[in-house]
Amino acid sequence: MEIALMAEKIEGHDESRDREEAVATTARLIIRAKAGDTTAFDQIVIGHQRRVFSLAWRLLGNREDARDAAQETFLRVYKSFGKFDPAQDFNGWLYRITVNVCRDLARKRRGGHFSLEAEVKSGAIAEPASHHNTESAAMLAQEHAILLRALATLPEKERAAIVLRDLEGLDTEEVARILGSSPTTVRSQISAARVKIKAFRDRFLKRGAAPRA
Amino acid sequence: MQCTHAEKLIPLFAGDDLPAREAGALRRHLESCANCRRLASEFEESHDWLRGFAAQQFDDVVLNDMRDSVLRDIGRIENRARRFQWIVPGWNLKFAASMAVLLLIVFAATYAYRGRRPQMIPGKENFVEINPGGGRKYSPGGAQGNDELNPSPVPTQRLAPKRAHGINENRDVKPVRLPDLAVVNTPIVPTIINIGPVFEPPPLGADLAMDDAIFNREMTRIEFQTADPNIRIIWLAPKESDSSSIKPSASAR
Repeated sequence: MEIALMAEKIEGHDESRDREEAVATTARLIIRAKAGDTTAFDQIVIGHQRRVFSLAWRLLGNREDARDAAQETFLRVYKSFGKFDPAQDFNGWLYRITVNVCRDLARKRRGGHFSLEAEVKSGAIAEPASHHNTESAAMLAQEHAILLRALATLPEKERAAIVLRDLEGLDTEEVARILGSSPTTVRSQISAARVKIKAFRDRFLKRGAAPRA
Repeated sequence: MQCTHAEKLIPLFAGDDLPAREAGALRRHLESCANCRRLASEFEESHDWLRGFAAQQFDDVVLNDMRDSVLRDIGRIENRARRFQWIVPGWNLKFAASMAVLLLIVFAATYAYRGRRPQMIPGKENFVEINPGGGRKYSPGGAQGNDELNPSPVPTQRLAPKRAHGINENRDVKPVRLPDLAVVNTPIVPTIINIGPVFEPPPLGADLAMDDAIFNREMTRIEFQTADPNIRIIWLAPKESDSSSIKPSASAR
């Protein structure tokens, strides 16, 4: 028992050390990128593009918009590097820019809908690896479609709050900082979003059919 | 805790977002309420389902394509900045644009201000100024060779004494005597000429200045102030007439 606890502590210690190293590396890259080193900026893009792309996809619901949003996000980051203090939390800043870009893009392209078939065709969602996993893969894809559709029905602010809190795993205070709201407001938005997602999921999973694309 | 209040807290309880005190109170309520306990269980299941969706795995081709687009756009921004750097070296483009707009506004305001000239009252350019002595500026005449266009100032009128000594003791009669001429600027020596009947200058029309100009060109006008300040002698003679045939004709006015 004691050994297990110690192992857990060491693991936790290692994880926090890894996190600190990652933060230090990012800070060094940022300083170089601010000085005009495009190679350093490229490294920053490589290190964060998946997260940005994934967040944009969850907020916007389709690959094309997510790609445009991710591209615009990194361009804004590049243009705003002069104002960024390396001592600040870069991830929080990057999230904030991503959320703002997605909000602006969603407003421009109102009425966009999610199509699971289109997403599989475009390659954004991987097809089932083998016929043995076909059924479970199909179910997973179906559930993924339900999730994205449920997110698409939420108001903009509730969607951003629930994605950052439950899908990205950020805590309420951090979500409040990114969204520029108070923790109380964020909790209220999260609560409303969870009620709606539960209702949507209950409706489609109990019926046994995926929502139409 | 009432069930209505508990139902509002359950969605946050499922995600561990409730403050510790409220979470404790809800937990105690759930121990005694089956309905709320079932609802809490459904919310936890939904929350776990939501959190179960890990970050989407995207194809590397998609990500590389996005990255290349970003670097291309950055290259374009850098080139544009260098081009503007040549035009506005070391300056912030926004600052340069703001200064240009400011200069444009200043220029436009200056131009508008200069465009507003004081308007001239029509006819005033040729207005002949009447000096305080009562005389008008006029041209003394061709015989004198004076410039008709630059009339000499009229001789200023000196206040004549009220009583001329030794001429007339009668107070009712106002003595008239020959001019006590005081030339201020230009010596005007009036020649004794015979003039025709004195006539009034043409009535003043709307264009006083034009009338005076025409009159001054046509007539020679000499004014004398008598001892009485209210009496003035005006000699008028056409300019082109023969001087020998013209006699001075005094008239009191």
